[in-house]
Amino acid sequence: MKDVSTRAAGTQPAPKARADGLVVQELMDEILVYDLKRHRSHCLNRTAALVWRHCDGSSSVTELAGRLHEELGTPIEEEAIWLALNRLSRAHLLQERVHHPSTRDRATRRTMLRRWTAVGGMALVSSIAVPGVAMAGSAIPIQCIQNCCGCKNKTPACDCSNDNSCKCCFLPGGSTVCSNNCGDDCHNQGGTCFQFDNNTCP
Amino acid sequence: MQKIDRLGWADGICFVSYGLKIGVRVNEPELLDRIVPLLPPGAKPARSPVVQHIYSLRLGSASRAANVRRLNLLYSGSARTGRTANLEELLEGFERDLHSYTAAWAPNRVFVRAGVVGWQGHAILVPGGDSVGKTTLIAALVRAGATYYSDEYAVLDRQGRVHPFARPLRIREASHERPRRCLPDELGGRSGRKPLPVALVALTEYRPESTWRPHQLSPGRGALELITHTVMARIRVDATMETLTRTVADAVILKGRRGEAEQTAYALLDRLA
Repeated sequence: MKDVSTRAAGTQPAPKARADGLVVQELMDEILVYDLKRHRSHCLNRTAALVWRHCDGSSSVTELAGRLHEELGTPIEEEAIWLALNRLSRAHLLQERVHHPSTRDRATRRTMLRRWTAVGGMALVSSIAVPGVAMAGSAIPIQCIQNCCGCKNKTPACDCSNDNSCKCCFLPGGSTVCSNNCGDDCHNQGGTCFQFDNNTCP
Repeated sequence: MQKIDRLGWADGICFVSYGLKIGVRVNEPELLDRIVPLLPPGAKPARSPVVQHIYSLRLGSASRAANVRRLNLLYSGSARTGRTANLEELLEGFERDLHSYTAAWAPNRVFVRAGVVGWQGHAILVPGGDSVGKTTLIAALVRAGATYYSDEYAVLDRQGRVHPFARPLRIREASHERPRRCLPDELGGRSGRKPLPVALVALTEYRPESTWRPHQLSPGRGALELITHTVMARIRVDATMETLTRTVADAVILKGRRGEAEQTAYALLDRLA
């Protein structure tokens, strides 16, 4: 991530929302974001979501504050926009890192944060790491049950002339019997039939 | 896999579970009677022999050499996942692996580790991993009159509705004991069948002497919490995100520690009354 935002005094950055490698879902006035690169998921509250949506790479902080004022119907200080940008930046949701050129002392900022929290205007970005998976894989292998009927009289219930025609019936209750021609009978009994034939697998 | 194929198999079953075709083969036909009750709830016999995954269970037999007994083996695909003299342990491992596989790969469903009950046409989800008291709370909810859906997985469809995964509850009387299998009837309840929309998500874990005083989360924060309990969330990102946002859209999300399960259960049901 580049860091070019507030390099010169008196200039304002025009932050741009990151779009690549993200899966985004809107949920009423919140936005849920999944970062495919970092496997982190973020929830943007209404204020953070509005700021992020308006980060088009051409709007300055002052312009962003104006747009939010229009949409929320309440004045938004530039300090609040900076806070939102800072939080979005830390969550890697902006293309370029944004640093807050704070000129105010901590006590003043704390007072402002309390005020925004009280009116629900504070931008919040909640983040969580998505746990790994033990069973990750790209595809399910196709396999075939092989010749397990025990044809050639290995199993007493099996009555098959050769391995390739061996069929088994699954019956309700878990019992299994083998037969050469059990398809129709199985349907009548509410079960089904399957064939153990390794050679016919696709 | 060919080496395992050559071991010689006496019997087997194929079934469909949540859209997955799975096979199980055994070297002793009578072992199938023990296997069938362990299949995922709602598993149905398959017509085709072609399966997407196969389990192979091999009972150890007495060796020719005196005092030597071969171990029981479990293979999941070509990987050996169990090797034990204790058949019960092997079957537990088989069930756990089979259910995990189903949860991971079922098409068109998202599995979230959560207990679920139904109440007045809506579902209550209790997400959580192992040893957070999930099953205890679900059992208390069933005793209080809720309909049992699952004590392990919330099975969600693309509309965000939850489907039953009503295996018997695994109730652990003491932490060092093996869980006892318990049907909902034994708790005076019954299992649900219809998919339900989710009305309440309770993010909680048991802490002795705690009192259930939850705080409410926004739907977005709720979805974020659910993602951490979603099986294969990293792999099936789109389906997970889409499904979870629909699941929580109209739900109340509560988070907090709980004390005794009975009190929490009644508090949860009151919340939906």
